[in-house]
Amino acid sequence: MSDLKAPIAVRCTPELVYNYAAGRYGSLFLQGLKEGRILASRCRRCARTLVPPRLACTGCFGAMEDAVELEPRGELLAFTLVAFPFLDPFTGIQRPIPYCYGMVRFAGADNTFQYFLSEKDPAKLRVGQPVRAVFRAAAERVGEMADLLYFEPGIGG
Amino acid sequence: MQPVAILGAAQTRHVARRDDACYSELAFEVVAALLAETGFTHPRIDTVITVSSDFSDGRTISDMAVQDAVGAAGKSSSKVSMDGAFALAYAAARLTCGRYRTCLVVAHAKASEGRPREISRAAFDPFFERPLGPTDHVALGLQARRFLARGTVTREAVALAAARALAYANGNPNAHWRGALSSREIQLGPPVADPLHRFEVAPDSDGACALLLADLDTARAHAAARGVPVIRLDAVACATDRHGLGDRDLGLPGVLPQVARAAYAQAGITDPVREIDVAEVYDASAVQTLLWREGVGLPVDLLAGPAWNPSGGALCAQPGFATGLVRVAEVWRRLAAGEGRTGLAHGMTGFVGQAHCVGILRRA
Ligand SMILES: [Zn+2]
Repeated sequence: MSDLKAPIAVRCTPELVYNYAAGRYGSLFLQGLKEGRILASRCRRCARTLVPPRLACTGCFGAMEDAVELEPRGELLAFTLVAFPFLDPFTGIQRPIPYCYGMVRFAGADNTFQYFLSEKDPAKLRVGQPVRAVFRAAAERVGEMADLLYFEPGIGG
Repeated sequence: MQPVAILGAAQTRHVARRDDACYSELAFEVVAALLAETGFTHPRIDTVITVSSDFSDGRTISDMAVQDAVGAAGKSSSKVSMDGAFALAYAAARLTCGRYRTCLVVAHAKASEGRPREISRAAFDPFFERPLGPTDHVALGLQARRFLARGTVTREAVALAAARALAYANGNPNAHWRGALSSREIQLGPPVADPLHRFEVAPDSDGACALLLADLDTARAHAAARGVPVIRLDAVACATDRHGLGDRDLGLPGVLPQVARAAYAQAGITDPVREIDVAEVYDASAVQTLLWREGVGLPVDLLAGPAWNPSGGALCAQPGFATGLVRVAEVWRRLAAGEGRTGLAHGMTGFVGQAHCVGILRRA
């Protein structure tokens, strides 16, 4: 073979579309958001409470059978800044960056829930800070993740 | 190989779409059923192998999302991203190394969530093939032409194999497709992958399957305690062929004859026609229903030798990479029920059978 003088590459744009089923538990959570409620699953065997709700308990690996409602407030356990541009998978539109992404422990939950924060400056946030969930206006809620707008700093502990 | 045993098998019903369960919940469903059936609990599972396709799940490292559902936290778990039958070889290796006594194998697929044709197209060479529009179905059509051109079977025989699969599936509560159609009706049906028509090409299904394997001592103790037979895995063999469609003769069974010979040698089988009672193969098309018979050394006549895809085969339910594991589960179920002593289970990966895997199961 003669020496390669001009290597060639081709640009390829695959179109991959997915139609995910939220399933019984995911659908329950989204329906809860439509009603302005945060729903979790609770395990009868080990009493673990997980949000979002799911079938498999992370404690005993049994089926989580009960749904419970959590107060829409909690404690900010971690946060960081998202500055990487990406297309929102639900809208196909780029989400404005940068923004803060946080992990919130709802009172009564055994795990933490990840979501957007209203605050755009991480310097104004602290671990352990109380936060509360802010929903869309009731008439605008449709049963999707975006019904939950963000967590904003809450009052008191 | 040192024999191991299969203690139990569970599968979901295979359907076009499961809206009530996400993919990890499908995996949970079969694991819960398998544990209930065998009386095992999570602490008695030593190691876990999950089977999934990232492309199909639309999720990178798709296996990690099922770890909670299969109870793998804190255990050594690994993944097979090929047809589930190949996980048999992996599970057997893990058990025979002596470190683990039990191994859970779980495969899931939700064909309804992605676009199987688009996903299959992405496996083709990006320069020379992908712009042409090849898919798994296109490959099946090309294979069918090559197979029919050999003149060993008629076009009618292919349609008959499809009709027979649908009829068998009437007795399979988990089948996605079942029905009573004549070979003529099938040939008049909508074309899917010329020259193949609807029902001659396997459906795209949502479903899952799980097996519990163990070393022979554990299996014997389990069998004695529960009054069930020991079903051994006496052999498992696999091999991969050249990749390109143009680098193989698609009308021939490829590396399958060599894989079958290796499995027969391990299991001490000298006359497969007489010695095998039941066989389940991954037939993505009705051509493969016939071609894989030739591959495992059986006569073309579907009535000679073992019961051949008595579940209806992949032609009646094709839950992605779970399809080959379902073949193993079907053979296991029949041997456990006393419908024969020796069974053959087959899986494949890659277009029109680039890689094949054959397992031999025996009721002790
Ligand atoms: Zn639990």
